Parts: sequence; C-alpha cells; structure tokens
Amino acid sequence: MGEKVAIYPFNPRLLPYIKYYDKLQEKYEISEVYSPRGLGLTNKHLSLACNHHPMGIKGSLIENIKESDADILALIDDLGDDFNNKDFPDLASIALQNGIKVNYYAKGIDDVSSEMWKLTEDYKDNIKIIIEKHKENKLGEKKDSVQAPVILVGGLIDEPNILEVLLQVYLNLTELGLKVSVFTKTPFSLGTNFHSINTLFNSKSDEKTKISNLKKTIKEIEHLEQPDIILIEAPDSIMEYNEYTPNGYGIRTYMLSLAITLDSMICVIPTELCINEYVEMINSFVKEKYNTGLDGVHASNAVIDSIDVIQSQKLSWIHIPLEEVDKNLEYNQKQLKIPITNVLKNGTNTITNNIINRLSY
Amino acid sequence: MNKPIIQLFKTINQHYILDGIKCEILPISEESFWYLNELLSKKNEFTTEDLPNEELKQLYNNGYLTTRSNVQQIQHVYTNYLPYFLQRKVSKITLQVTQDCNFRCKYCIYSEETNNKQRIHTQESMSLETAKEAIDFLLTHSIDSNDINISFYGGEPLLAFDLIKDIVRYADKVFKGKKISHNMTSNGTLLDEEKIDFLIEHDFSLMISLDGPKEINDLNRIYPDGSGTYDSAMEKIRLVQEKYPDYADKLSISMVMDPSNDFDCINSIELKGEDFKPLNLNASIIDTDYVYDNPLEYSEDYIWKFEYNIFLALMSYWGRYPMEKISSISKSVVQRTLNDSYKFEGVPDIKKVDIPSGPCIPGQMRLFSDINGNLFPCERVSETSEAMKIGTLKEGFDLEQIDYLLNFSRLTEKECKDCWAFRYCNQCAKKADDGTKKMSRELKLRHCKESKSIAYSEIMKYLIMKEIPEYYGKQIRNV
Repeated sequence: MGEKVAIYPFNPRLLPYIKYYDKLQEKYEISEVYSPRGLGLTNKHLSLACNHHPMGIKGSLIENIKESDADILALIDDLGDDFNNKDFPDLASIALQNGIKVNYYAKGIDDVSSEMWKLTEDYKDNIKIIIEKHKENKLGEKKDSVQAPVILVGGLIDEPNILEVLLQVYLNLTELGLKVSVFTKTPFSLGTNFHSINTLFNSKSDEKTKISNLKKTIKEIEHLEQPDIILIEAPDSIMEYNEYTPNGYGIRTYMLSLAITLDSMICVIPTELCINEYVEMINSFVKEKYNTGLDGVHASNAVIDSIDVIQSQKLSWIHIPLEEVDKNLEYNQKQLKIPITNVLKNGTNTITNNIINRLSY
Repeated sequence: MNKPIIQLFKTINQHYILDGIKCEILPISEESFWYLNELLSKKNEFTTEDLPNEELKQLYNNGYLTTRSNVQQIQHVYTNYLPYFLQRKVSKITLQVTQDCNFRCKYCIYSEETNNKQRIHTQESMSLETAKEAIDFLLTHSIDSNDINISFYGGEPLLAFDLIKDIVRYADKVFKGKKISHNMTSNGTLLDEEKIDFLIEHDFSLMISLDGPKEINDLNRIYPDGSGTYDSAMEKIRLVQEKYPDYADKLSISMVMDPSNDFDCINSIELKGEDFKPLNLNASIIDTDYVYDNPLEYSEDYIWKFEYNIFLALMSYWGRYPMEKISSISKSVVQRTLNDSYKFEGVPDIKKVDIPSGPCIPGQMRLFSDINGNLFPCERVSETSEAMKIGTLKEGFDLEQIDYLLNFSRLTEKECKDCWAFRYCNQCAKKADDGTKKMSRELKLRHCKESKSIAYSEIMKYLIMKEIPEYYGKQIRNV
C-alpha cells in the first residue's frame, strides 16, 4: 500500500485519472476525493459526473479533512477556471496542522497567494507548490523536431472522455513494452512522470514564444525520457463548433501542431455525431489542418444541448448512459477504415493496434 | 391542395423563394415569383408541366418546390434523451416566493378581473422548507450544468425579502463549486438601501416593471385603491441611480406594452429624458394567451407608429438617421434581427423524424415552482392548467406529460407537415393550453397565423439586412 492521497477539489476532468491511478503508478493510493457540494456528488459515485459505470470512490466533503487519514492533500488549482480557491490556504493550514502534507498544483507562479507562500515558510518540508514550467533544450536545440512518433488525443468538445482514451491507450502501449512520454491538461501528476501542457499556454508570452516553448519542452522531455511514443492530450477542442458558439477555434491544438509534427490522432466525438459521413469529414479536416489522419474514434456519451447553444451561444452537453452509446453505434454499423468504438465498454485495443500497425510501416 | 410548400418574399431589390422542405432561401426571377405567387393564391393544382421557365424547372428537378413533406413522424430530436436532460441538466429554477402583491395591475396574470384562468392573488408565501426542497431538487438534477440560476418571482417578491435572503444563503452553501446567479422581477416600490445592498452583494440581476410614461403606466399598473404606481416606482429607480450608479447600469426595465395605446406615447418614456440605459429595456406585449374570448386590440396609432419607428431604426443602423432619436424598443428589434441571422443561414432541411421549432424542453430550459412546490415549465404558464403541471418537488418530474408538451405539435400534425414555416415556428406549448391535460388543437391552430406572420417579418428583415453589403460595413454606413 502506498501513501494515501486526498484530492480537492474534484472536477470531472480528474475522473479518468482517479479511475486508473493505481495502474498508472504504485507509490500512492487515492483515499478520498473531496467534491465541492455544488457538484451534487456528496456520498455518490464520482463516475456519476460523466454518467459512467461506478468505479468505487464516492465524493465526500472537504469539511471531513480533519478526520482524514490521508498522508497528502493534493490541492489542484488548474481545472475549472471559475473555481473559487480562496479557501485553499485555510484548507492547507488545517491539513498541515493535522499532520497531512500538502501538494498545491497551482495555475502559475502569479496565481499563488501570499498566504500560500507564507505556509511554505512555516511548514517547509510538508508543503510543495508545483508549477509546471517550460523546459529549455540546449542540447537538442538544432534538432529539427521530435524523433518519437506523436499521438494526439483530442475531441470535438472539451470533455473528460479525452483523458479516459489517452490513459487507456497509454496503458495499452506500456503493456506492449513501449516507453511512453505523456502530456495532459491535468496538472495533478503525483507518482507518474506525466507532464502538464497547460502552463505553456497560460503564460503571458506571445504566440511565437509559446510555440517555441512547446517545441523546446517536448524536445527536452524526449531527450530526458527517450520514449518510443509521445502521447499528448489536445489542449482544446480540435475544431470550432460553429461561428455563433465560440469554443476556442482549436487554436491551442493548432499551435501545438506548429510546434511538432503529429503522426496520429484519436478523436473523441459525441455519440450522436458518430455517423460515418461526419467522421470522414472530420478526418479530412484533421488531414488538412493538422497534417495527420484519424486512427480511431471514441464515441463519447456526451450529447450536445443544441437548444442551449441556440439560446445562450454556449456549448454545453449532457452525459447519457453508456448503453445508449452502444445503441447508436449499432445503428451506424457500416464500418469505416477508422475504427469507431465505445472505449468505455470495449477498451482501446482496436485503436491502439490500428496506430501501431500504421506507424510500423 | 397540391401546392408546393414554399413562401415568397419580395424586397425593393429582389424576389425570393423560401423552400419549406429544404429550408433554403433563394433569389428567383420576377417571372418565377409572380407565377408562384399566382399559383399559391389560386385554387389551381400544381403540375410540373405548367412550369413557365427553365429556372423553375431546374428548381423542381433539384428537389425544390416539393408538394409533400418529408416528415413521417413528428417527434422532437431529444425525445429519447428526455429523462437524461431532466435528470442531469436543469440549470434554472424560478421560485414563486409569494402570491401576494402590493399592486393590482389590470393585465396581471393573477388578476381575478381579467385573467382568473391562470392563477389568483392570495397572501400566501412559500415556506423556507419548500424553498430548500427546491434548491435541493435543482442540485440533484444539475450534474451536467456548470452555471446555476435561481430567480425570484411573485406576486411581488420583495414582500418576501427575508425568505429570499434565507434562500440565497442556503443556495450559496449548497452550490459551492458552481457559478451561481440570481434574478428578480419586481415592481421596485419596496426597495430600500438595505435591500439594494443585499442584491448587489449577491450579484442579483434586477428587473423592474414599468410600462411607459406616467399617463400610460398608471392606466394599468395601479395600487389596490386604484391610484397610479409610476411615482413610487420612479422614486426607487432614482434611488438606485443616485446611490448605486454602477448597479443602476445593470438594472433592467420590463415594459409591458398595451397595443391599444399610442405607440409614440409608450415610446416616449426614454425619449423624454427619463434616462434609462438603452439596452436595459425589455418590451413585450400584454400576455393574453389565456384570455380566449377577448383578443388583444391593436390601435391604428400603435401599428403604424411602431412600424415607422422600426423603419427609422433600420435607417439609423445604416447611418441615415440619428441613432439618439431611436428608442431602445426599436433598437432592440434591429438588434434581434442582427442576432438572429443565424436562424436563416445553414438551416437543416426537414427530416423524416422532425418537429416544428418553438418548444423548449419543458422543465429543463426553465423550471418554475409555485409556493406549494408544484412544478411548471416557466412562470408564464397557467398554474391551474392540468397540462402545464410537470411534476412536484416531492414526486419529481412527470416525464409522460413533459414528453407530451415537448411534442405538442402532434396536435396539428397534418397542418405542421404542410407548413412553410415548419423550421421557423415560434409556438410554445402554452399556445395550445386550454387548461385540459391534452390541450387544444383549435387553440394551437388559432396561433398559427400569428406565428407565420412573425416568421415572415423576421425573414423579411433578414433579407433586407443581407442585401446591403456588410463589407467595410462601418464605412458604408457613414457614406
């Protein structure tokens, strides 16, 4: 049994991480996940956040931290942009007073409050502030691009299912004995050697510098870890929804594609859009914009709330039961060369094999 | 009658056809326009042999001018997902905190005098227990909602201000971790500094009802003793403007227009220097959906002056008339035309399983709880109607009834299938509500003319806007 880790605040983005945490590393185990009361997950399976099948851990309230037997409290500050983190210093203080170490995953150096810095002075060895920074790559500066194949896992909407697919593919690849370097949007990486890609985009530098920093960082990680494959979670939706509902234009993913050459892409598509013709259209778009093709599609259980899109020009969705996804896929049985599957029920073997076969040529 | 499912439009520059099945608007020649116009107005059957020119033949050969609808089944696309939308993505609730009011507006939906079918005034308020139940209900039905909105409605909600304070504190605690906002519609007369401070502290969007200048407002908006309410409402609006200027900028005015009055008179509330921020005025016509036997009367002075003001607003948009002389009522119509242009571009064609646009997912887009915890699709529907009650806080949603309301166009399946405005309809289920559980086909059909007329008018404005090039729009407008 490893050290016990308690996580606050829960965000649906963390769900795949929590689900596969024991397989991703051996040093730690997640003992508690504190879910903000407003998420409606208190004493409920956290998987309800995405309407997935129960996975064991239920949400509890941060007020329980005093009674916690965790060794480490992971305070994660990079998930929901709107989350009010004013109580972080108080929570960190309570944890520290109760003998629980604190790992604070901050958005950036400027976002760390003075109270938090003060705690690092008072509890030197027991609190860490973790901020991912871009890395220099002096040795490989002249090298054109990364050498290891790069697989991007992205989606039409910014949803936790993308990380789910990425982690499943990662586990498949490592089972095959391959060494994989991983970049995700999730800053929490305790016990793994995964890297967060967020800070590279959150910096105030101009676009040219951001692209350059992305390139240097990925090259440096390649140099340090010598991976067989690099797996990256797309930093935003890979394409815009429509011109009335701005959802990022895929600009960050496009910047990433300028920094490095992408060799393969897996796309997460809401189930109702997993129609062969539409998937082929996305494949053409990806080829044109990112210079790579789709090697697999995960039909996610998200259904876009198009009435909300019309009313508020905001992209939002619901999560339907996984069984409904299967019904949709059965309806669209005619198979493409691009495998379309429900990864949550069928795993990623088909997709992984497809990638390996193609990259082996 | 065998007629193509189309609608024709003619602007000063161009003739158009809207194909109601393909949902496309295409420019056509004058000859084709007048041929189709005659075809639609006469009793002649449509035959392809009679098509007078190559343009119409080509249109027909490419699938336009269809006389039969594609629709095999009237069903909303989300019908199968309805339980999940309602279990997981309710994001708003409007609480009727009290049925009591210090006004007795003549057109009020609570008014026994004109509208006793919808609801009645009582002095009852919601209990804190019911209010908490409503907040908890919202929590358990909003897992997929990131933003939460709680609105307060009456009667006059400020009569239950202590209750509102308790609800807000409870909701802030319950929804920790989600973005929460509050709205309130009030007559404003009970506002004082303590209340305003609270509303500011909790980021309330406040909408105050006022129907125009004193002579118009006081015709309908009166105290129980019959005296006018304008002066008291204006006094409180000025209090907000003087002491809380930042908050005053966010204040909205809800104006219910009685179209039997002169439009210029209604419109003069701001042009006479009452100093409302132009975009904070929400104008609507008196709601008479439940007054079946006494249809709303539009005066001549309302109709032509309204249309003339819209014309001036369009002229001002193109830099041909001073913007400062345009009222926000007229501006909002032009703004809506610009905002709604997407409704007419890239519109999907009619599918085998489809439904006229218009209805929301009852209970999901908005949800209204009366003082006793009975649930309705919104605050505008009748609380006494069997059709509109979609559940209770205790027993949950009545999915069968919600499905029925969502697909209420099945009441007029034949007419809807053959209608050119299928994709542009704006009828919500309320339009067919006669108080019975199954609602009324006749009532729904009665509203079709109005709905088609609104769609026609919106499309005309869209076409006019589109004919004037937007390239370098700012410069063109200033030529």
